[in-house]
Amino acid sequence: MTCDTTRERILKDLDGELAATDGAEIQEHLRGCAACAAVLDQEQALRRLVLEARTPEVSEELLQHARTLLSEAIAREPLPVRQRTSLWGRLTATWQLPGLRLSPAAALALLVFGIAIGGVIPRIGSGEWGGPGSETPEAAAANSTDPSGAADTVAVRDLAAGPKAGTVRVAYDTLRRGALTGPPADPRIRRLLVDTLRDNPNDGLRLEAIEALGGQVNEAEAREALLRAVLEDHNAGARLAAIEALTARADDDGAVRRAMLEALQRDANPGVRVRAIDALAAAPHPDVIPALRRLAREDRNEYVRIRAASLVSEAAGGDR
Amino acid sequence: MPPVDPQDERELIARARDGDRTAFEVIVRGHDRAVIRLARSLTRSDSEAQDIYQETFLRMFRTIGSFRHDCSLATWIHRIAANACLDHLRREEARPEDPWPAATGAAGASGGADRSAGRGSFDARDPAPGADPERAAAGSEIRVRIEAALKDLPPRERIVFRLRHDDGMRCAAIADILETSEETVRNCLYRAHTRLRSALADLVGGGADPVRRLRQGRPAGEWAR
Repeated sequence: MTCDTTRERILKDLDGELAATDGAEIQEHLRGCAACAAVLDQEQALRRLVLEARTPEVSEELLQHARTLLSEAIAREPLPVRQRTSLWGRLTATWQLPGLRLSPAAALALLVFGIAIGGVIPRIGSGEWGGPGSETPEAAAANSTDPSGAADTVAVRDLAAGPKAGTVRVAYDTLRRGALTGPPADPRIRRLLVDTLRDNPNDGLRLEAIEALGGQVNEAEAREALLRAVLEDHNAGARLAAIEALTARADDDGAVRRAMLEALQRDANPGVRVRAIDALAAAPHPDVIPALRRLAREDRNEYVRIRAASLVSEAAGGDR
Repeated sequence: MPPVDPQDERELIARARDGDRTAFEVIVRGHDRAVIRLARSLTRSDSEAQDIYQETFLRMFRTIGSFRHDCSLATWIHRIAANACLDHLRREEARPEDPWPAATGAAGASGGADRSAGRGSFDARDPAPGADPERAAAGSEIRVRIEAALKDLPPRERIVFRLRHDDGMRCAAIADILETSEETVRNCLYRAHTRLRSALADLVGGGADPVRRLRQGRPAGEWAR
């Protein structure tokens, strides 16, 4: 080993980043080379000096001043453009379903599978499936004499936007397979959506059901289903969406506020908790202030603590 | 501040991308001490460190939508800070020497390291609050001499030295921040250490504790000034 190599490795060794075998070679070289041994001594002395001369810790005053100036500068900055998160993105958002991240190969396989299934599903809805009980969406919607078209539902198979604005298409299995198209306000459609949200094991379908029910929060049936989703759905994306759907009623419905508070205090997912605090922020109400005050003191998430403190402070300002 | 849970951090980033300033400020608070410490150690100036701090986090606010989690948030922030420091140091290098007189004091070799102290913002001799005055004075003396020895190194190499010795980062982490190879980082450190050993030969040669030797070389009471 040359002197140059030894001196480079001395640094590595003192940094604790040298392999044990290299350490043995250095020792062997040092035993026969006084110049390199002197460099080792000097380097050790230099380390002590550098340690002694480390830059003093930044004072709290300086840090606070920098933060204040930054906060003022950020307030003057235009906001980044908000990007709508896709359905898949919401379902697999990292705070929700880390296990659902796909490798490129798996994603490709899923795509191929989807294309194959896509070729089959339209035939189901269009009656080409071949079963005598198949029912076209149009036929089902027109069949006003069959209001129980959804009553004997076994499972919802697919949910999508309807051909006209403000409508949804619900493909479902009953004892016969069928499909129904109409606005979510249609009681039959709404019932299917509520049943989907309550019972369907498919995360994507439940999320679409929540979106469709979002405009129906003035209907007790829809609101109760959404409240249940906030508190009980196992998918954090669904709980988030349900909170968003109910936000409009946080001001005038105590049950909604209680559900938000419950989520805020108990949900294991930080994303759900901060969305709940957004909902309460949209309509700060006196009956949630004590809980917010407690969260401002005790929540383990700093963002939640700051937002809760801010809401409490705003409410106190409003009282004056 | 306790470290932010990675899951929380991802959520905070998502919210900051959507323009939530509170979420952004929470992210800042988790990382800003290291940023201002790096800036301060390189500039020896509180006001310049604040400029770099602000530049770093404004750049981050404007570009957080492009953060793809292909490195840790800490690495990404350090990278922005290192670039802001580099820009600042290069501007300083391009500027003609200030007419400010070098600070008077024990260090005859202080030279450019005291320029900002002359502006009255941050003196490299300032002891940390509550520090033993004698020890702090020795530390300050050494700091000034180290700074003087390092000032002719390229800015990038000075950043490497500070990240290694002030932040205690490993070479691989520094390479990640500067988007270079670990080998390049080691070479930077090797050059810096060689230069320092030479510049501080009176303190590092001979085997005794260099800090004690520096203190013994001063008249009694001088450190307390």
